[in-house]
Amino acid sequence: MELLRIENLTKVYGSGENQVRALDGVSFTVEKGEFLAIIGPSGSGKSTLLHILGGVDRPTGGKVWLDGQDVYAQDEEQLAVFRRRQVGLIYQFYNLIPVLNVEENMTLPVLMDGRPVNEERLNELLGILGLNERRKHLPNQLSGGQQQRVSIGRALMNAPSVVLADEPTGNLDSRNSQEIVELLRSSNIRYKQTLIVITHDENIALQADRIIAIEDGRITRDERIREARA
Amino acid sequence: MNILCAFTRKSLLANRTRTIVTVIGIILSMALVTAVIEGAYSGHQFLIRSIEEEEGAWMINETDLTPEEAEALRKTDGVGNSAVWNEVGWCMMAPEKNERGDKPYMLVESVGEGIEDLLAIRLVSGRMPENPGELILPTNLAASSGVSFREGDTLTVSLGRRVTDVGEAISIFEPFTGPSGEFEEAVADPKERRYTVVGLYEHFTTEVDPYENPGFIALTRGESGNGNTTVFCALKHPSRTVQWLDEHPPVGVRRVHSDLKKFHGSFGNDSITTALYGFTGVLVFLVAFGSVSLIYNSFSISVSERTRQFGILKSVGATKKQIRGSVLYEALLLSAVGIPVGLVVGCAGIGITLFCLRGAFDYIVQPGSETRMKLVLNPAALLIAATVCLLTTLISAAIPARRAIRVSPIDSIRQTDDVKLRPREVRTGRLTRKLFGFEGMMASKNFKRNRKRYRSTVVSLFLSVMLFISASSFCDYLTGAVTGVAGEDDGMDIRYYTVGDERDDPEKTLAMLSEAGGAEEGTYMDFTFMSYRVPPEVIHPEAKELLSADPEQGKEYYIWVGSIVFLRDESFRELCAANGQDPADYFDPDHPEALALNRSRTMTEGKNGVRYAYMRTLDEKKIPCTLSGAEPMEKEGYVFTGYSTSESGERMLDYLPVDELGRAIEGEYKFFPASEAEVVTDYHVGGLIQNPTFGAAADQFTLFYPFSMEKAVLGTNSDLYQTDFWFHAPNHAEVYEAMEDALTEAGMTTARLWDEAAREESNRMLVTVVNVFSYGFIILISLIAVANVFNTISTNILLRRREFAMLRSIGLGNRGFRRMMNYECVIYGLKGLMWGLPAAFLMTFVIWRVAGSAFETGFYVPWPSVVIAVGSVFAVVFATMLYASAKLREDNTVDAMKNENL
Repeated sequence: MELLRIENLTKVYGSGENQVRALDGVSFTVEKGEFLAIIGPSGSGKSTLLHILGGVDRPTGGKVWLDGQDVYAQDEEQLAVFRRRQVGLIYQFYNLIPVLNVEENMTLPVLMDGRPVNEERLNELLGILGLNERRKHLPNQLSGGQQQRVSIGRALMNAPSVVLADEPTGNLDSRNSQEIVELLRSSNIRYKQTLIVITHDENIALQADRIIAIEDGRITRDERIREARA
Repeated sequence: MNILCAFTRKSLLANRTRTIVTVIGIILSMALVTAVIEGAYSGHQFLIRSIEEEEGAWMINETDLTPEEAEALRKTDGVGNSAVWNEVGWCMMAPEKNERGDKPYMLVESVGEGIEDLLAIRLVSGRMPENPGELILPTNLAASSGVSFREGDTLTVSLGRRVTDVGEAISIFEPFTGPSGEFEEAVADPKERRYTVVGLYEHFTTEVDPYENPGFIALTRGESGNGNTTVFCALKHPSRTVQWLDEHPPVGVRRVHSDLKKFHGSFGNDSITTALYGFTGVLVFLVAFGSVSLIYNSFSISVSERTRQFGILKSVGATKKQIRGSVLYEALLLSAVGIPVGLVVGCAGIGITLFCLRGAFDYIVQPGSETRMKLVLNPAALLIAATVCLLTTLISAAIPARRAIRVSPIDSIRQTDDVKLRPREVRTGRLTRKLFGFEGMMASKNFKRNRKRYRSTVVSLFLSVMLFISASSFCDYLTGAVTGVAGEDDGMDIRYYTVGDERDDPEKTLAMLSEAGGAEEGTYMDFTFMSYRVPPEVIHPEAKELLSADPEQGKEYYIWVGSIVFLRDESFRELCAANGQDPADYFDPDHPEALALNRSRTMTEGKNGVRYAYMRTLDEKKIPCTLSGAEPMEKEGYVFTGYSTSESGERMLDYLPVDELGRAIEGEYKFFPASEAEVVTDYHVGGLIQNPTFGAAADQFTLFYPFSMEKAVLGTNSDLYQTDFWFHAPNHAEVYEAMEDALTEAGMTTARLWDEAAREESNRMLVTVVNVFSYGFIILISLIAVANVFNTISTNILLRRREFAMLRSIGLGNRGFRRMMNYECVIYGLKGLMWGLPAAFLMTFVIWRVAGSAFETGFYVPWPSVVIAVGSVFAVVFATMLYASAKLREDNTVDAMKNENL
């Protein structure tokens, strides 16, 4: 079942001779439950693509459809709610709120919705992520790996339609990297979570169901490795 | 929203220093606004209370009413407290003794209940009458008519109605018609009354006792009167007096208490209240301007620092409303702490200031007044102040909030603000690099990269410098004006003058006052102004130069205005002794000679401001010499009014005829040529005074003669009508009171006794008050500016943590880092001064121009204040840099470069 459709996506930065076409007419679709890896060299436009999919950066042209909804036909208010409920973003540099503790950082999207926290889901995630003993700690009291786990927890808390991860292991050592990838994979398997990961790491890419390669803002390769877990 | 509120609270706690600085800023501005508003309000109330004490709390009085009309007025809408007095009657007042032809009557009024609450009846001696057999008399009775009574005296008078020859009643507002008037007035239905005088009271102002009133008002109590009633009333809403007057036209003759109406802000064309509240408005505006700048800056910084975090929140789904709400919540939190504390601090501050200065304010009111300056809180004003502060804070927060919302989430996370630079914006010259090295170049580039942010710091510095120096100028000019005008301390502290019969025995009066008061020194003199004609061969070159601008001067003589004094003989002898002169030369009635005080106080421009110099009139080498003086001749049936020039250019003297009561009849001028109407008298100057003694000091050219030589010098042309007594008393206030008692005991008026030393002190006190308020205000505004500068500079530095970490990582050592910071300091300081100093000088110039319209003064700059301002600017900037640098040194280089969790 098709979850995500990208049509002719373009993103241009700057103007005149300083113009940069980060994305140049990118089109593809993603099935529900699919684990997609996006690879490409630095400056290829993969992060830009992810940010547009996540609703944090507007495209210059083209359309993005998620769950049958034209993402960028929404106004700012609706887009914010979209980011809250439909999407989970994981960054390379964690991007946690320094003054909020682990629990608060993880439940941020729920709390902003004004809804009560599902304690069961929270405890489950804390358990899976190995953060039970750290629930009241601040980010500066955690290691890099732990901070990234909090970031994953935040992304998964609302059970979004799609989780987008931008080089989630870029800042971690190999052991932590492996653990993070395991966690992402298990959420994909367990919750049938659609997952799009940008990575340099071939090992991670090979664990995905499908690989898309981007270069100079265009798709150069689109290879299916295995069937999506529908 | 709860999580965002938690986020806001925790952020505030995490950045404790900045939070505290912001709260202090809010407290300071709230305190200042409160102090200014409440100070003005208290001052206003003080003025009202002092007027009410001096003249009474009545706002309207209406005369010539029947008792029924009076009652109706008292019950009218809008009328508050009221009281009446009833006319008992008129009688002729000692016609054989009364010197006032135009005021031949005594008018007796019977005061009603509660009159003392409305009308200020100021007893000079004795007590208020308690029954219809008792009377109190006004002080102007003895002072102007020569008819005086003492406490305990009894009067028998025939009181009746004042009527025309056809029996029509004449109002108090009609002047005495006199024997040659249209008709002859009379007192109808006279009834005899006996009164005992139980006191004397300070006579009323002309709003109570009209100028035209031909009778001295005596007060009794308990009589219903002859039917002519006067009502005094206060209004419930005094600030709406003008509207009340429009809505309720008078029945009788109505007077309004104009001073009180003015102070209550019921304007006609008033200036005092407008000026007071206008000035307050300006101060509030200045405070608001300073505080908006500080508070806006704080929020701007707070939002900037959390740009990345706002980006994260947005990327996780926070709406614009939620982000905006977070910032406004921060504003509300800080206001909730700052505003109440500021209110209390402001009230306490102004309260303490007014309490400490209350002695100074005592001098502004009449001596003996019981009105005291105190803090009067106006809840409405406090509410306005709090609202203004809250709105200021919210608006200051809303603007940066809008900025935070507008940026896209990813740009916020990346903090790509700084990247929007163009190379030429941060270009620095090669000279900078050569002279100041890499660190200087970096400092210069940093300064240029974000002009908006740096601008606010520079603006704060510039404002403080300008305000500080301008305020110093203002205080200096004001002090100069007051002390200049006040002049030398000549020891002449208390003054009294006698008129009429009292002048007969000045020695007796002197002895009585000297003994009573215990003054250290005393003397008396007769004096008058004189327009001297100084021969050209005798005039001093200084004076000649001053007068040479006028082509009329110097033709036959130079005209120099001075005075002539006839000093008590004994004092004159002392003067001779102090100046090496033989008294015998000056006591010859056939050849009277004078000692000249050869100086006139004039103002010149000095490099430190106003300089007061004494200019000499006579050339010392030409003494002895003769001057002359011209005075208008006395003409029977005429009074001299002034000088004019005829068509042919001749100098003329103008006279008006007078009626038998001595009043000038307007319109029928008669002109006499100077040669016919002037009496020219020669004055022989025998010597010059080098060492003035007591009583022989003056600010203008004066000829001194012994008192006994007056007739010999002036002849029958002497029209001097008063004798002045001067006393030297360091404890002048006590001596003054003792003399007051002595005069009252002797049945003499105290209205002519003056504590001159107190007046001088009051001027000085006023300057102190202005200085205290000016400097207090400026210091507080400067504190706001310092907080602002601290906030901005420290944050500017802390926001560049990543860069500093990177520089350190590639080899910039501590020394180099310090040098870079120092260069930035210098740039900040210089920029602030570059704008601040010229602005300050401009303000000083403006102040000088404004001051110059009121008094003569030269232009000067308060250099000590300039030095302080310059020093302070650099001190503040460097101190802030030190603080921020210390924080930076604590950073871990790698973490700082990642910019995580800082």
